[in-house]
Amino acid sequence: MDAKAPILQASGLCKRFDERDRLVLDDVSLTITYGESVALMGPSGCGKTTLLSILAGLMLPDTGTLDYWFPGLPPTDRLTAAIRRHHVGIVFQSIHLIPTLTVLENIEIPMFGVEKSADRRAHRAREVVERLRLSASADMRPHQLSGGERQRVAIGRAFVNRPILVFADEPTGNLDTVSSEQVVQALLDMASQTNGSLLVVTHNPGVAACMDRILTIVDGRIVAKGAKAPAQVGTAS
Amino acid sequence: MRFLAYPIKNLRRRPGRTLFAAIGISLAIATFVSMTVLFGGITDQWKTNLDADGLHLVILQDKQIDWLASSLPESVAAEIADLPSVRSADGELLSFLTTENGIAILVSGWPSDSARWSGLELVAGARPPADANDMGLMGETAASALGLGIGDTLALDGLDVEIAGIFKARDVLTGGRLFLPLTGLQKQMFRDGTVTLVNVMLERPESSEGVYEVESFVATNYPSLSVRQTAQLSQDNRVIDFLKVLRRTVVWIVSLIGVAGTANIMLMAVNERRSEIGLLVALGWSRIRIVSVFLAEGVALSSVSGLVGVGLGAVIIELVRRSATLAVFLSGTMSLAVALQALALAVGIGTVSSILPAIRAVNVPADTALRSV
Repeated sequence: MDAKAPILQASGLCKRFDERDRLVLDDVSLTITYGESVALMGPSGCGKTTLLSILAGLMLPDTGTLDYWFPGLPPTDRLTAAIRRHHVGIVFQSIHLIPTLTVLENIEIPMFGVEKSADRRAHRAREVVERLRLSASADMRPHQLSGGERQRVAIGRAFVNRPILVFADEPTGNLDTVSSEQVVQALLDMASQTNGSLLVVTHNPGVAACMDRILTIVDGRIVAKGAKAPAQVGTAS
Repeated sequence: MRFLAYPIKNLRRRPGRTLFAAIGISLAIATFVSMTVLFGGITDQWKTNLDADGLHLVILQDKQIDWLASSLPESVAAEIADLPSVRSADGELLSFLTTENGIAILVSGWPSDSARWSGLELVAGARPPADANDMGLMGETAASALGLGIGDTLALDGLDVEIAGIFKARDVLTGGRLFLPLTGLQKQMFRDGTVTLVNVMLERPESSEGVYEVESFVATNYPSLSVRQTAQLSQDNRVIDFLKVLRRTVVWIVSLIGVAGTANIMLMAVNERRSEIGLLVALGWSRIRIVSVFLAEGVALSSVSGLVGVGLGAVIIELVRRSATLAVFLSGTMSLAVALQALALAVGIGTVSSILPAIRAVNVPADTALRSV
């Protein structure tokens, strides 16, 4: 697999929300290559989450094109549920762990439909839990964990199927500095394990600085495509 | 984690709500079980009762909807008995009489010389003497329910009846009855010389000649009476028809209550868990897997509730059996077939009630999890 080869290419994406009749994305184009980590920054309401939703196949753009290249699959212009299940991971700002399930069980959830054997699902989830240094909490339920631990579980859930493309929406949004550092470290560690590409939406310049490349979006347009700055993870600015 | 663990754990998310939903379904299933067993006992036994009596024809007042209101001369029985194709014909007076405790008992008056007395298998005591107008035979179901034994006296609407014998309950219909000599009951009811109906046994019931002869005789001499075959009676009986309709209606109502209650719970679950469903969609769960979660939740809830309901129904049947007031009329035995029907109904309730919530769940937009906090 060529490290410079694109895994995702978006061209001329536009999105308007009917209820606000406001152009949220205006002619957005970007490319993400294999193994690359990209930060997407911008002020609140600038269209970051909308862009992430479209790129992750959770929402359709009004206009524009998308192309994906996944190993072993023909090029495709949309992420179906099956492709998302096998090749894509998503980390949510609101974490969304299932409250009735333990840490291990939450991490197993994306494996339904991917791995038939319950034993292998459990084994793989345990590997991820160990990797994230959450073994002591494996049988705890989400309400028994700290915010940082919960987000690390969510990262484990996103990476458990060894995805080649991972989207993270404000993964450190509600965390303190120490927890943010742990979460970013976990994110990068898991991404390096899978050699996957990473697109992180963040307000935090320190988090963005940990990525290979920073894209800045303002009023629905990408206005800057910069190289990374020295890493210093801090609380959201 | 097995897949089914997830929907089952979801049911424990709101234990109070799940418990109340389960109680509702259990009561619905218990109602189904008890109605099926108790009403089914009556309808099934009606035909068995007529067949076991060996009766072939019954003569009643024509166009009389309420059997008990039928009235015809007692002498008709003797005339019918003289027909060549008739083996025997007995007049019978029927009435509901009430005990001092307000329990209604179906009382029959039979001629003292009727062969039908010998059809009652005695478990205690003896047949009342031919001239004893205030002595009778009581079914063991009624005797047990009323706590009566041989020699005890039962007051029925002013008539004091001494229990001369207790006969084996062939079924709930006969087991709850009291048989008196016809003349005694006629005096008590001021119906000297009249009966409610005439029961006819034919010499050759398999031949239509006997039926034709009796029908012709009655049509010629008693145009206000009608002849009915017992097989037809069990089918045409309006009380049984009413019970069947009542049972069917109650089953439909309790099923709808079960469906509505469960659907309400499941819809609330879908509304509360929109972001969680959005998460599953975003993670790439197939629609069928998401539908399966909600169907499994509904079916698991209703199945467990169904099992509880079957047990509850069995308890209700036992309580009825022990009740002095109800055991005279209602009785029945819980069967595996009824239990399986009830469980099938419970699973049906769970499935039907989960379909709409499941459809709502799969229509949750994929970006919900990203946009919900």
